[in-house]
Amino acid sequence: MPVETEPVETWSPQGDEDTDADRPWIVLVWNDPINLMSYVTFVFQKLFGYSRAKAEQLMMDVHMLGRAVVSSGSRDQAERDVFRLHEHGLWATMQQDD
Amino acid sequence: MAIRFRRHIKACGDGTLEVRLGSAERALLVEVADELTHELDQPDDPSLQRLFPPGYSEDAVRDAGYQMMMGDELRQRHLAAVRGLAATTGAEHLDPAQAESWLRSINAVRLVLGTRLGVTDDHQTVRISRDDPNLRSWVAYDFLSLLLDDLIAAMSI
Repeated sequence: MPVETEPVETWSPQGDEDTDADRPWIVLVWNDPINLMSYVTFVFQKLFGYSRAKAEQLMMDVHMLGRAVVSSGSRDQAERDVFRLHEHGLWATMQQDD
Repeated sequence: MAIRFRRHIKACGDGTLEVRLGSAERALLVEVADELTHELDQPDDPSLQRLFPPGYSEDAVRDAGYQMMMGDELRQRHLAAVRGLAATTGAEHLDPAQAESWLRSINAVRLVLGTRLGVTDDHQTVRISRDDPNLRSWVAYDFLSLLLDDLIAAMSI
């Protein structure tokens, strides 16, 4: 590994779409009064392969805090996850991470 | 809290589930599956809004694009699940694919019923009188909640 590197001039435009596109997308699941806690936990395990403990923690975050980030990645990945969550009746949305 | 001696769904150990339901309970499943199948043909019904949530909460343009691209596919997936339930309401055993149809469609029916009944609070205790016009829907909602919970317990083993 190089010990010293020349400082490189980087051009970082403000508000440019390319920079914007680099920010990851996050998938949020929102609290709702109808879905059972057991169902939400089960869906998180099934769709994302999370352990029971992690899925329960995410479910409790949704329940107590109103929402939780359940996955993140490219826009395509986020859209796929949102669709699978919708298929299971969960209230999921996606947005770019701040 | 009710003490339940018997669950409606039991894992058999070979990946299949045993369904323990009486004829009245099975008739209710036939009825709700039939209702949801017809309702999915009218996706503009506001009671169905929970089955078709927005994909983008902060961007109306991208959300419109998402709905245009995925909306019909989502409707087809909901339809496939409820058809899977309708085809197996009399079954004594469910294979994993059939169990998956039950899981998603029973939850979908709960979402529609719960929206229609105005279920708004996680811990609400509702007192329903015998002459409540929604009595039948509340009974269905309650039964499907228990059944879904049993299904999840059996599928989790």
